[in-house]
Amino acid sequence: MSMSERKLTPDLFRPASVDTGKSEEISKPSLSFWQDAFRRLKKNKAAMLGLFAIVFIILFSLVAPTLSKYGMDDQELMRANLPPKIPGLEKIGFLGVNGVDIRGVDQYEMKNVPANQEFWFGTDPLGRDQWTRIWKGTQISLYIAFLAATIDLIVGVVYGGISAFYGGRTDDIMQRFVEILYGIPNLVVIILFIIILDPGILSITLALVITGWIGMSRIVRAQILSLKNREFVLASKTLGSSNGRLISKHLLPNTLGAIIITSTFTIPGAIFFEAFLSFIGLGIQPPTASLGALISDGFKSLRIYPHLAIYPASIMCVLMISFNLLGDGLRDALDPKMRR
Amino acid sequence: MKKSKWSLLLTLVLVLSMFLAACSGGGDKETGKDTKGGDDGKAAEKPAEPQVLNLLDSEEIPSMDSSLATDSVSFEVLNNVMEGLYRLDKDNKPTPGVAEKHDLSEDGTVYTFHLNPNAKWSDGSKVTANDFVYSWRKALHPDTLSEYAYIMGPVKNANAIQTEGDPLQGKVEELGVKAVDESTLEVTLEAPAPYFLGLTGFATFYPQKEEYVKSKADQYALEANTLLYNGPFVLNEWKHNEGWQYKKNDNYWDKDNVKLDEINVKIVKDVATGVNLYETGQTDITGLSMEYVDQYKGHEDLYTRGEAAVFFLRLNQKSEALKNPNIRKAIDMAYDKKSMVDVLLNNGSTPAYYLVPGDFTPGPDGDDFRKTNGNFGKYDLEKAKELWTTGLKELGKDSVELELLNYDSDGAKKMGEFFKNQLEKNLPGIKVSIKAQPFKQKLELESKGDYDFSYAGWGPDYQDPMTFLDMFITDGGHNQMGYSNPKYDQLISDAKKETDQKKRWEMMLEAEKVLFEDQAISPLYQRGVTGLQKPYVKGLAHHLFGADTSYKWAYIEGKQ
Amino acid sequence: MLRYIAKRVFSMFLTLLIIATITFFLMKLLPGSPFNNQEKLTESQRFALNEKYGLNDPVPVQYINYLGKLAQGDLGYTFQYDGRTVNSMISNGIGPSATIGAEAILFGTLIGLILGIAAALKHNSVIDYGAMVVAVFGIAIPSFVFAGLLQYYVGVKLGWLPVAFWNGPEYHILPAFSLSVGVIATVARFMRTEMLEILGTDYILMARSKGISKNAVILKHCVRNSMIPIITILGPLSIGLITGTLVIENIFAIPGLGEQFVKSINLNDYPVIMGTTLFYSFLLITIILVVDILYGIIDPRIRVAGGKS
Repeated sequence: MSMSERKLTPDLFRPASVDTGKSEEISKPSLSFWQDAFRRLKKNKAAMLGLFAIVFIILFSLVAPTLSKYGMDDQELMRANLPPKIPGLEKIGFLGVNGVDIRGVDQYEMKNVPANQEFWFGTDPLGRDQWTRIWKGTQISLYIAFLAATIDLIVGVVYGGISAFYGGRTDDIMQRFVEILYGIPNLVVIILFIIILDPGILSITLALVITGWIGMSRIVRAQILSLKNREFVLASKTLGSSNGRLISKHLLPNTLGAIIITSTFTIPGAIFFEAFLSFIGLGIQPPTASLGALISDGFKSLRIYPHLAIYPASIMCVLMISFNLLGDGLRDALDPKMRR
Repeated sequence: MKKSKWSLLLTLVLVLSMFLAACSGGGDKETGKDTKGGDDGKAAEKPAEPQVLNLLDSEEIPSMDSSLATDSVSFEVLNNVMEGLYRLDKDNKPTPGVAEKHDLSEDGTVYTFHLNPNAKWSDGSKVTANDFVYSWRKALHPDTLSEYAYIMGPVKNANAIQTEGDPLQGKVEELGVKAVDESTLEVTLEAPAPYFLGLTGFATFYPQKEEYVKSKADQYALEANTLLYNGPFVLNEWKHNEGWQYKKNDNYWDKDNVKLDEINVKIVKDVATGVNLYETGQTDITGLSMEYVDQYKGHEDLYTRGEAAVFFLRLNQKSEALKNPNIRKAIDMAYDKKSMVDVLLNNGSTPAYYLVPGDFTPGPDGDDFRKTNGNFGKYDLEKAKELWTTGLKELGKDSVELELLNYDSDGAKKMGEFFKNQLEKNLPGIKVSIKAQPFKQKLELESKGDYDFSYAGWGPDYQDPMTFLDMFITDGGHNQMGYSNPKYDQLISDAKKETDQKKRWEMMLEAEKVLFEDQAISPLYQRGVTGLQKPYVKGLAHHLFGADTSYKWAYIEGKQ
Repeated sequence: MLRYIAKRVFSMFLTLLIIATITFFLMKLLPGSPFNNQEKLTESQRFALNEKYGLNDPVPVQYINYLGKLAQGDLGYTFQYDGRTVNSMISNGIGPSATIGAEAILFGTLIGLILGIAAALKHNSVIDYGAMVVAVFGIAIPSFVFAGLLQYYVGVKLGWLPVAFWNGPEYHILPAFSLSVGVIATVARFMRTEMLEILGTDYILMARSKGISKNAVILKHCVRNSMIPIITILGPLSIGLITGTLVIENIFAIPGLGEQFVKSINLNDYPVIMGTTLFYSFLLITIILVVDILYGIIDPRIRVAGGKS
């Protein structure tokens, strides 16, 4: 085919039809806000890693205790403070799971532990299996954190929502109350609370909630205040939507992003605060243990029995990092300003 | 003398993670050697190196007013900056303090103390008999509100003065103490008390100079410079909540035997911090908690020392189940005290099968109380189960729920977990719940009897088995568990009146037997303390009651 | 502005009054007596002690008396130490606590800002990831673990800095640093987000396209504008430090307020618990107030009088 033979003749051209409707057409498949957010979240490798780690730890903390034949409170002083030993991995020196402690003594041999007894994470001063305790502790830490976050969420959303939605005098009174609560250092409230009730999972959770919901309510209030006067809400109102419809169809969905982000940061905050309470002796009461309690106990013997602190601390560290990564990722994904 | 502030202290110490940094010291060998050095100790013999001792304590000093002091920290500091008629030496024997010597009347109730003319206050004035009369009366005076006034019980009329409704109430002039002249003090007792001389070394019996106390009014003893000292050291500096510093007292009558020039005490509450300070040489002694003992096992600086405090489970007989003696006996036999002490405490404590501690009081025949009375009960699972089943049958139940009242310190919590586990494992049908409470709240619940069994401790106020035994008389202030046995009450009250030392001793031995026939308590352990002490610290004297440590004879040798 | 401040100060005192009331009645719920040797006390002694501290009066009378004294700035006497006032305990303890707190805030904010700015400018580079790893670890490790490790490795093993105590400037470094880790992390993350946002705004592009040098733009526009929101988080951060100082003071043997507070709770020392709570609240409310006012001054876009969000 030779090029020269082809000539451009006018009949090769015809006017394009102008379809005004088509110019508005979106060629890409339409994505809802959440689909878009999730797509962006998926692109964020760190956040996905965090999400994966959280899911993994949650599932594993449920499964792992059943893998060990020892219960949470199976004591035997004769096998106290054993270092970790995992059959099969003993030969790999650098893992340090061969039952030899930092002084180079095989404690399993020295304490005449029967050959069929192995403790993957070692044992504590009462001879309890750390593996079981750590994973149970993870469960408890997560339980406290999720419970605290959930109650925070409910109380905070309702309080902030009502305050902002009704506004005026209601808002004024409710905000004065928040100001007072905010003015008492939360540490003080929590300590007094735990002293007056007995320390335990429930009182710790409640104590965390008492001060925790304030942050959530402020955020929800701020969001709703700004949404309330936006055109789409006004429009819906003018069209005769009931308050319930306004709240459930317009206000809440648009606040959800902020709520989720705040929750992702509340959870690690609660885990952390529980650890702090354990350190000052007001945390979970034994024989139950949380990650924080295990760390603050184990930390005392860090130099002689490092396994007692290192494993729970690592899990806590991974959890904290994961929640923060996920929180950051969610913020980027849900914040329209971050949409690029 | 029903109760003792001591137990409060000891338990408080326990509450604070069993950490009593400043009260740790060297072994007996050193002190023995030092005795000689002390006897002919002259200034010239003083080693050439700086005589500075660095210590830690876990608490701020609550009170420097000897009539108001109630705790171990105050007692220890007071013991080193003040002096009573006598003071305890390295072997816990009374040795002359402000008193040079004393005469004792034939019936053993009137002591005449001759004061040392060289005994002076830190302002240079003489310590007189009136200073004792003043401070003793002050301690008993209702306005002083001295919580430790009961310790003066052996002195004539002291109890009546404190008793509500007694015709003598508040009349402190009726107290059996009299200044015969400036340097002669006459003390009359209610009944002979062989331990009285040792008691005069107790803080509440220290002298105070009336004129000075009154001039300082409500500022007295609040700061280092609003207090007069008459002991081996003076407080040179006292930074509240941070620490304090002792300096040698130049006005002290026996200053030639005081070798240390300076003792620095810093307040450190965290055991790990104490250990780190020890390793960097910033403190010469530090206490260890159980976690650290394994780390220093075999270390030459590690010491352990037995104390005279006994810990036990109060078995509340107001509790339905524990009213049954078989149940009580079963509980006592159902846990392994030996491994508890070796593994859990790991601090030189010894398992206790008794109330009156060992190595504490020799009787008139010279034998230790413990040696004569032996042990009661032992770890015996079979027997425990048997008694338990019998007990349950008598109760007509097949399961029992009990609440263990506990301190909220780390160590105590671990013990609580251990009891719970052992009892639930070994006694079918028992369910133990643990209630850990802060110190004050725990005491409150205990005194209300609002518990089933509780982890408690007791330290002696004076060197006599009575300080332990009279705790459990019916309705005694520290009984707190509804224990009552008329035979026991009779033995105790007879022993208190008995003038024949041998008979008195027999009665006390018998009383302890009665207590354990009833299994009123389940003894746990006699406490020991463990810690690290630099080898160059010599001559510390440790006491079993009153103040923990005397620095009077301590010195530094071989640091450089 | 003045009117706003006056209004805020008034509501601050109202808040304090309510807090005082709440703590006062909470104290009445605490079980146990505050006296040391409670079982040993004879009835008359106990009565006299209660009388001395006014604990025999009916609760409403005690409450009025307490408020009356409070109005004069008198927080009463502690039960723990003979003859010492709560005021003197607080004034002794606040020095060290406030010092390390302030040092931690200053140091933490400074380092946090640097990390955050560097991370934002080198977005998605090694520096960015490095800074964020530091920041995330900062909030993932409990302060008592971090302080303990620092004390052992820097104080004992390396011997570079004092292990504990409170004697001179070099004694501040470890505690202040341990305390500042959380601040660094928070500030760095916050600053990074703010910077990224501002770097993408039109006015920055505009400034750049007008030929203003990159450094000038960053300093004059980006950093300055990102700093404003940082001020708002300083309030909550300082509050968080109260929790932190408690642990740090314990570990580094610093004679501060936090330790005293926990101890007074264990010993039922009502006047100290109430006094310290009020003092903390006062501090907190003042910080919030100052932050709000500062915010209004620095950012003209925010009209303070319009209330806060």
